[in-house]
Amino acid sequence: MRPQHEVLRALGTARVRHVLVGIAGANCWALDGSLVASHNAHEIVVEPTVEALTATWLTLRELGFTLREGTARIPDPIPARYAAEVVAGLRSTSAYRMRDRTLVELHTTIPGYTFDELWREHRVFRAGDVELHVARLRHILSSMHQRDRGFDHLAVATWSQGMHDLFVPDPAIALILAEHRRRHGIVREPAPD
Amino acid sequence: MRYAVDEFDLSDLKPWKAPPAPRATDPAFWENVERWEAASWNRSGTEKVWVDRLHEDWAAMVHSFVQDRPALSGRGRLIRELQHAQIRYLVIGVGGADIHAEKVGERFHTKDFDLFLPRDPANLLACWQACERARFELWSGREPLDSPRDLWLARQVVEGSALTRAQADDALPTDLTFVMGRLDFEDVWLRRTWGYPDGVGAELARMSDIVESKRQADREKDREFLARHRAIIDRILADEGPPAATS
Repeated sequence: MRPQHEVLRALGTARVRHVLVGIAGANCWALDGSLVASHNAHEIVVEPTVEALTATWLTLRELGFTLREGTARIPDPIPARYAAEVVAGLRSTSAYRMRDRTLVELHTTIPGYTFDELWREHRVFRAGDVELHVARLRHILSSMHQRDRGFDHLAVATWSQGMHDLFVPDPAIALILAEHRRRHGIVREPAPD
Repeated sequence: MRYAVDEFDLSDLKPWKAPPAPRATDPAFWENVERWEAASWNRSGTEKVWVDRLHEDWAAMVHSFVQDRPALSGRGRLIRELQHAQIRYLVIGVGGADIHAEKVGERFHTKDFDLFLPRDPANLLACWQACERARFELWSGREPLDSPRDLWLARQVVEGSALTRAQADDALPTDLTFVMGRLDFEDVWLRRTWGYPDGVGAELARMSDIVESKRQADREKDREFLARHRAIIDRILADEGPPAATS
């Protein structure tokens, strides 16, 4: 099983409310591979409660991840009140697994949106029997746009071009195909949106 | 009976240049996002396992060292068919840059794959046939390209500088284009080099030409790409050196 699906399935089993954001979330909205970006970091927004965050950390530890906040390792066992401080400060932590170089960034909020706002409008896709809870594309791109990171700017620009190319097609090809169909008596329904 | 298409002359449409994609500060960008969200391929419950499967070609970089003869990927299959049919093509765009980057131990994150073709209808038709043999489906916009795919259709597509796309379940979509900024195919062809994506030799545009075409296209995504990856691009260009003499 792919690392991302392994993590998301485990969070689902642990009954942790979460939404996928960032590049991994945007990838789920792609029509085809031209808008899928490669990455090894999975950005997840977890419900900002002590119970949800603690369950997430324990789940990831069971999967072999090492937990950090910034560069500092989160001690094992997790200190009392540590989760409450992270929740109160709306801070982010991360989890890294060396064997497949998988990085999971755990946020309690993202620029512009709270967890509740993301959750209210999120969409559920599937990867086999794994449910993918993915934030709205609008929320993902808006949050990326607000960040001052070069990679996010590139991702937003790539999405803009990809959507534009599909919605504003070259008029020449439409004329050519219409003429081709007329010559060969081909009847075809318009493409679905 | 006359059709609307009879009233048009394709030459009126050339050269067609798409209006620039809206920036994220433009309301049109967010209208496109909402339209995208509402599209049929993004309904709740849609199967998206293919998204992560695309990442397997990264993992395959490791496996390829330990397998005697790894199965050929979709991209490798396509390139092999193009080579066997002696099609003239050049790998360009970020996909081409990615092949260059592999030589210096780097990878780019966006992975679309573009093939630059000469304005030769027979070559395009042979290219379509090679795509079909490689088990790729041909698309134009959001529709499969009509059959029969004959020389008349190829000639019109060349004259209209229209884009067609080859798609397969196990490969990135591959755009077949006649446009590489303002660069002429024959010039880029003479300067070309070779790369080995998936272990198959491919005709590859020089990195300097890929960078130049991105500068000329001057889309926001191209500017962001050049700015973000400047250090890697400079390394590749330094490694590449000047083109070999062709006379």
